[in-house]
Amino acid sequence: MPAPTKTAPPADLLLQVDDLHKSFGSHEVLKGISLEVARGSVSTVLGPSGAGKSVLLKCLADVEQPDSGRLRFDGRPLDFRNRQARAAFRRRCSFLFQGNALFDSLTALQNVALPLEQTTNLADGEIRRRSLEALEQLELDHHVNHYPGTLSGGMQKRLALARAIVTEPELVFFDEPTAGLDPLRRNAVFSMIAKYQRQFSFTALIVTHDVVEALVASDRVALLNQGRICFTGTPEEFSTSDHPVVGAFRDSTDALRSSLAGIRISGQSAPQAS
Amino acid sequence: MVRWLGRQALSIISGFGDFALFAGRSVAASWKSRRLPSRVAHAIYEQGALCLPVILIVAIFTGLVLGLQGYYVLNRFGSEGLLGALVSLSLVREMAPVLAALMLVGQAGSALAAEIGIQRNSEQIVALDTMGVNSVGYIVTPRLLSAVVVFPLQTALFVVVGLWGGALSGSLLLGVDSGFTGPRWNAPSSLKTSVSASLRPRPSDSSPFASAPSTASTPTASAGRPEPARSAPPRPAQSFIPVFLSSRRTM
Repeated sequence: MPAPTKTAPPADLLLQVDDLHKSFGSHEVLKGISLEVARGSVSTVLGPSGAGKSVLLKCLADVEQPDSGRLRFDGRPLDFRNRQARAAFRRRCSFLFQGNALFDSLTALQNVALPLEQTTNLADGEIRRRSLEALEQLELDHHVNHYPGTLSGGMQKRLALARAIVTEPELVFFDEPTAGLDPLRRNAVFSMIAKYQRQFSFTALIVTHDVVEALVASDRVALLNQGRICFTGTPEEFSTSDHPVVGAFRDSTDALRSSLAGIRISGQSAPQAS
Repeated sequence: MVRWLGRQALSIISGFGDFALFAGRSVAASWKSRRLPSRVAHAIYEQGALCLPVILIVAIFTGLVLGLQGYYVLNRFGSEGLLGALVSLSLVREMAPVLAALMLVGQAGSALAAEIGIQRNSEQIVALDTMGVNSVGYIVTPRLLSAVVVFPLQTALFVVVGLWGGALSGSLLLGVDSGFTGPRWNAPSSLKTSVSASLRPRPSDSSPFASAPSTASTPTASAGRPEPARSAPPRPAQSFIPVFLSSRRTM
C-alpha cells in the first residue's frame, strides 16, 4: 500500500513488503505479496476467508516465518534471524488477536502491565502508572481489578487494545478485530480503532473481511485473493474499481440481493406451475 | 517391518530429544526471565498449597492401611514389634516418593496441562511471543523451579503424615508400643477390640501365612487382640520414631 499521497517521500513508509512467499507443505498460501504501509495511516487488507490474510499478518508480525521475501521496517531491512533486530522490531510493534488473547488468570491491570513488566526495566510504580493511564484512556478505569472473563466483548477488545498500546508501539496489527460481532459492535470496534489511532498516533494494519466498515475507517485498502494482492488504493478507488475480484467482493450484497430475488421469484412461480 | 521399527525408534529418539531441548530451554530461560521470584512463589502456592489436601488425605490413609495390614501379617509371626520398621521403611523408601509424585502430577500436572492447552488455543502463548516475552521462561520455568522446591517438601510431608497414620493404626488402635513416653491418647477399648476382631484370621482364610504351622501366631491370633491382653510376655517392640531415624541413617 503506497503512502496516502502519491508525492509522499519514501521515508514516510513504515513497513514495506516485497515478494513474500509462504507455504504450508505443498500448499502455497502467499504467492509473492508486495505491500507498503505508510506511517500514521490506517491500512486494511481485505479478502475472502482462506485468502491468506491472517497468515500474511502473522508473517509480518514474526509469528510465522515466511519462506522468502524482503521486509523493510522504518526504512531498514528486517531480518528475523537476527535476534537483536527481532527484539527491537517486537518492541516497536503490537498485535491485537482475533480472540483478544487476554490472560484469564490476570486482572485487567495485570494484563496491561504484563508487557511492561516482562520487557522493560521500569520500576513497579511507573509500570502501574502507565498501565492505569492506558486503562483510563480506554475508559476501563472502573474495571482495573476485574478479570477479562467478567468484562463484555467490547470491553475485552478495549482491554486488548490497552495492552497493545501500553508499550507505545509504532505499528499495531489487528487480526480480524470484528470477527463474530454484530454490525453495531463492528462499527464500534472500527470507530474505536480510528479514534485511538488518532489519539496515540500509531500505524494500524488491519486484516478483515468487513468491506463497508473497512472502507469507512481506512486510509488505504488492499485486496488479497488466492494468495496475491490484486488491488491497492484508497477506499474511493476501491469503490469505483472495475477489477473483477474487487467488483465481486464489493458488490457481494447486491449479488446476494439478486440471488434472493431470483429464489423468491421462482418460489412464487412454483405454486402457479403446480 | 524393519522400516516401521526404524521409524518408531527414530520417533522415540526424536521425542526424547525434543524433551531434552525443551527442558534445557526451560532451565536456560531462568537467567533471562524477569520477575521470576514472584512467579516462582505463585507456582509454589499452586503446586504446594493447593495440592496439600490430596497429599494429606492419601498420606494418612496410606499410613493407616500399612499399619493395619502390616500388623495383620506380622502378628502371625509374633513380630508385630517390627510394625514401625515396616511402615517407616516402606513409606520413606518407596511409597511416599512415588505416591506424592503421583498425587502432584495428578493434581498440579493436569491443572498445568489444561491451563497451557487453553493458553495455546486462545493464542495467549503466541501473544507472549509477539510482546517479546519468552513464553517458555514465562510459563514453564517458574513451574519447573517450584517443582524442585515443592516435590521434596511434599514427599517429606507425606512421610510424616503417613508415619502418623501408621502410628494411629498400629499404636492407638492395635496397641503396639509407640516408644512415646509422654501423655498419650488411648483409643477406647471397644474400638480396639472391634479392630482386632476384624483383623483376626478366619478359618476359611487360605493365605500362605494362615496355613504356616510353625509360627506362634495361631494361638495368639485365635486368642484375639489387643496385644496387652496376651498372657505371653510381649516381644520388645521397635517404636516408630527410632526406626524411622535409623532407616534414614541406613538409606
